Amino acid sequence: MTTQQNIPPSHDQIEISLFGPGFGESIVAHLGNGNWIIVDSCVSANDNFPKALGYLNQIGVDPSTSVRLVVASHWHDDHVAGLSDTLEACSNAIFCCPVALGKMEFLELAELYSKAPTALPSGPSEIYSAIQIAAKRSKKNKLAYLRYAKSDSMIWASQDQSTIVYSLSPSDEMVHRSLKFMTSSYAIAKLGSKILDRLTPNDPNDVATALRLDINGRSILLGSDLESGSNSLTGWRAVLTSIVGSSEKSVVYKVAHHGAQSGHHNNVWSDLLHSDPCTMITPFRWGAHRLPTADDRARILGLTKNCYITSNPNVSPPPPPKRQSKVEAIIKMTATSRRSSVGTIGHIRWRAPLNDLSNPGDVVLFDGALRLAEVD
Amino acid sequence: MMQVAIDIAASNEYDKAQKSRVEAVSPRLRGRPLDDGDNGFLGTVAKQSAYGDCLIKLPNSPQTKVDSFMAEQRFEGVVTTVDYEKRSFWVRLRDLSHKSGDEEAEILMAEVPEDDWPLIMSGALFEWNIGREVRDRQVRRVSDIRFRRYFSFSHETVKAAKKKASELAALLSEINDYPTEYTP
Repeated sequence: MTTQQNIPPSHDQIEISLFGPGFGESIVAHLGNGNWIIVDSCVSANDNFPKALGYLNQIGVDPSTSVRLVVASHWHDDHVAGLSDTLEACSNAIFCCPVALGKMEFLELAELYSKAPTALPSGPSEIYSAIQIAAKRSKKNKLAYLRYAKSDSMIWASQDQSTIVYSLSPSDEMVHRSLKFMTSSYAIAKLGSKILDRLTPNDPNDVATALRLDINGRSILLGSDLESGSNSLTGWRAVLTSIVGSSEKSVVYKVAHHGAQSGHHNNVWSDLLHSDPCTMITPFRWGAHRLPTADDRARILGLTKNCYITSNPNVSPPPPPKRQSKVEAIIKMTATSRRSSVGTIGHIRWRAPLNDLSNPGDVVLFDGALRLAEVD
Repeated sequence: MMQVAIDIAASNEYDKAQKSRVEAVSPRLRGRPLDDGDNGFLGTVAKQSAYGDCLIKLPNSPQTKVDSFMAEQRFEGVVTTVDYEKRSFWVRLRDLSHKSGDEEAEILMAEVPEDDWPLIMSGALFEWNIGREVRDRQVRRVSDIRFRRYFSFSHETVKAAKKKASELAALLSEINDYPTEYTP
């Protein structure tokens, strides 16, 4: 059955599709002329299949020939689930990750953690697997299929240079901090610990890569989990004073860090975005935490009315499947407030003509995605 | 026989491991075997010090042996947040028994042995097993949450990891010199 969601964009249409199940985020973008990129990865709860691949299959796009670039913006678990499977399927794609993750400090730590006796997902392990896939691909083809993201860098361009993907972060200071963190984490990991603390990036998101897609005169800002920055050398504060970062204003914005205050900087809205940009958010549910909060939503709606969210952050995912009755009874006695960690994957799709800059494009919502103003 | 020194002044202590009540023993019981009727435990007064306390010999631990445990559901979990006021913690669970998606749940600290409470912190790993236990020919269903107490990598593992990482780093360095498909 043909639904609107199954219809692929035409060659002269740009598309930004944002997917978010409440824990997880993935962006699939058509840059025009059959060039696709994927930024971050999340999986469906039912089958653990990467959503980006599922969507491309749904619209009849072959990831092995059409996806040019797969980006891991940072190593939070909610941004990399299914990443290595995605890259494997996109067999001609370049892999891009923050520059710190190509250094020995990360490689040692990730290799060690890949040996940890746990079945739980680990952001470093997924990125590490992806780096290995890209390295093998490069060696086989004698072409560089691995790029590193850092501030003011061009990471991909179309042959005619009408489309360029820039990374706006991490800054040198952020790279330095994250390498320091990884070195000390490695030293601790080698010694052993009373508990095994899963490796997660330290606060703030020192490796987070914000991207800007410049497509035929129109720009799209993808904020990853970049935070505002503790000084002018970090976070959005560094982007605002960088050469590439401040060179263009975007018409579409994937809001940083799930709309949280920590990812907000007023000057991003005034200096990096056109007025009333088309704005997209993925919610975040982690234990008792919920993002965006009511205050976050009010703040964002004060800046643009044109805002969408992939699912309602206040609606819990469905309950998990039931086990056999006696086991289920014991589970219920022990654990309260139980739910699947990943809900339905909402989908926000923006499309606009490649060659008509006066057309702001339109948004269609699928699978529970809604306007931010409708969240109660 | 296990020997337990008892301070008469500190009487009525509960021996958690034994699940038996150990009471102060009157010096007059020295050398006498004790049974259930005497102060609630079995043992023999071994000797008595000048201060009146006694060394009691107790029979081997009355702990019953678990004959078998059949797991019907196994989870591996990680603590995501802890609410000390509510005395509960949120966890993410991975189902090791079935191919189903991850779950989130809130668990009260009371469900965890008190000895493990210091281990309940963000990032802590635990196993949660539910199944049928046969102990002394009695069958019962149990729910057992156990936190990882210690984890370390062996020297060989660390060395092997370093070697593998170095090889990959060398390859990545070589790749930096390769041409790109689309050269900006």
